[in-house]
Order: sequence, then structure tokens, then C-alpha cells
Amino acid sequence: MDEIRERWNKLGDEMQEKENSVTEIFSRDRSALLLARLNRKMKLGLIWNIVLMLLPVVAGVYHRQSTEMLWLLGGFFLMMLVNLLYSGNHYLTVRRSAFMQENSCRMLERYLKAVKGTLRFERVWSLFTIPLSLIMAILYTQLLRYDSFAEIRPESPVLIVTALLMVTAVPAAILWTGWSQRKAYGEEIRELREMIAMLSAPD
Amino acid sequence: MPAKKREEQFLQLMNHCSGILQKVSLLYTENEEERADLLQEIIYQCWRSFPSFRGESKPSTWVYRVSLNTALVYRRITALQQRELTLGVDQIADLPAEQREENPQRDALLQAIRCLPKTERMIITLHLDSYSNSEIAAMTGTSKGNIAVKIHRIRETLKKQLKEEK
Repeated sequence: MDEIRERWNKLGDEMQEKENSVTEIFSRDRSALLLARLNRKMKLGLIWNIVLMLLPVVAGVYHRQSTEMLWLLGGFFLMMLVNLLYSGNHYLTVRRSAFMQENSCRMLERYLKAVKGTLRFERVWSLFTIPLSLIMAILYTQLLRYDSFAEIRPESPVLIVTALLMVTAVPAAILWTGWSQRKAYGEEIRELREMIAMLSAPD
Repeated sequence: MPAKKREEQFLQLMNHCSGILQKVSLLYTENEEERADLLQEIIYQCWRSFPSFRGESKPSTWVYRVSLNTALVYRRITALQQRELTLGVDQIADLPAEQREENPQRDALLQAIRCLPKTERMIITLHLDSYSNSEIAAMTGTSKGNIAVKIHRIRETLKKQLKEEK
């Protein structure tokens, strides 16, 4: 074996012996890593929101001749925009504070509060947006059949389907929102709580 | 995968590849403070990209790739804040004292590698850790032939420097 490789291998052996330091660093920076994970999930939520906002935009371009259709799609767009602005604002605030401040217990508490606040808002907001989205979807299909809102006549099959969806699909979608939030953030929030408890415990 | 299990797997991998992390952080920094900083950054970046690691390449190759990319970005950022790394003989004093006294031969090799340009440092690190030319070419985005030529040149440079040191 040549001299360079021999020296290099010796260096590798020495470095490998420093095993504990990696675990130490990881444990020390666990809170930063956890916040990064939460940030990533929140960002993903915002991306989904933006994707959903694109749907009425695309439909709007397609139906650009119909003013009433544009009003309807505009309403849906605004509804999603409110959610994006609220969650986006929260996301940027917590992200900034997480990067700018020390990984102190107070910062983690603030972060937890902000994440929970955002999730609560999304849950409450979904109570309105999900039934409203259904109504808008029904109106959209009706507008495709008739030319304007004034021409739409209540039809029994449409009313029955709407009522059925209101009592089945809407509650299911609302419950799913809560469940998916728990599934997506549950573990991180629990970890964050544990970390706060650990940091605030007296020595 | 549950977070706890993922964390355990990650730590296992990091400890297994601890040598790679330490070597890369040592080769791309000037002093102990920077080294600790870069090591932390590498672990953080590995943790960030860990969910996307599908096991298509060897775990050590993946760790190498993330580590080297992080080191290159780190150097680019620090170069904006300070002069580019040009480590001279006198600057080896920045290494932790106990390591310096223990192994002057190793320090000489480190010093010689650290004086190489960033990409060449990356190539020789991978080569010395027994990665094939095609693997290095894939990781660095150059051709296999080019890598072979570069390795030959780098080895000559290193040999010359180590001979001068003697």
C-alpha cells in the first residue's frame, strides 16, 4: 500500500473513534432538527394550499367569458387565500423566530403555541370552507347547465344529493382534517412538549 | 416510519460513518471552531435529507455526497466572509494540540490535502476512501477519464509535498 493511503487510513481510524461526538451533537441540536422538520411540514401544507388555489385560477381562465362563473371561482380563491395568508404569516413568523433566537425553552414554547395556533385556525376554518366548497361545487355544476344564477331552479335530485353530501361527506372531510393534522404533526408536537418539559424541569 | 425508529436508524448510520463526517469537516475548515461548526451543519443536512434517502446507493456514499456538498456550500459561504482557504505550514497550529503532537505524519497529509483546490480535495478524499473512478465521476459530475487524470495529478502533487516535508 502506498504511503498516502496508509496515512489516510490511519486518519480514518482515528476519526472513527470519535464516534460519541456525532451522537452528542445530534442530541444537543435535536430541538433545531425538530423545528426544521415541523417547518418542512408546515411548508408542505402551504404548498398544497397554493396548489388548491391554482384550481379556480385554471377554471377561471377556461370560463373567462362568464362573469358569474368568475365570481364563484373568485369566491373560492379568496377563501383559500385567507387560509394561505393566515398560515403563511404564522409560518414565516415562527420560522424567523426559530432561526434568530437561541434554542431556549421560551422560544420552544412560543414555537409550540404558534404551531398549535395555526393548526387550530385551519381546523376552525375548515368548518366553514368545507361546506362552502361543497355549495360552490354544486353551484359550479349548475352554472355549467344554466347560464346564470337567476336561471337556476331548485331540482329535487340536486337538493337530495346536496343534503346527503352535507350530512355525510362534509362531516367526514372535517373529521379527516383533524385526523390528518394529528397524523402529520402529532409526533413532532409530542416531542416538542417533551423537550419543553425537559428544559423547564429544575436541575 | 415512526420518528423514533427513524432517529435510531439515522444515529446508527451517522455513527457508522462518523469517520467520513470527521474527515470532511477537518479537510474543509481552517480551525477547530469552524470544524465543529461544519460537522454540526453536515449532521443537520444529513438529518434533513435522511427521509429522502431511498437506499439506492451505499449509505456511506450517500453520507459522503451530502457531507461534501455541505462542505462546498459551507466554504462558499465562509469565503464571502473571509479570505479563501490557503493553509500554510504555520496554520496547521489551528489543529487541536493533542492531535498535532500525536501524529505529525497525519498532519502533513492533512495539510497537503487542504492546500488543494476544493474539487480536487473532494476527488482525492473519495479516491483514498476506495471509491471507484466511476463512482467519483457520478458524485462530482465529471467524466471517468477526467477523474483518472486528475487523481494521477493530485497524487503526484501530494507525493511531492510530502517528500518536501521530509
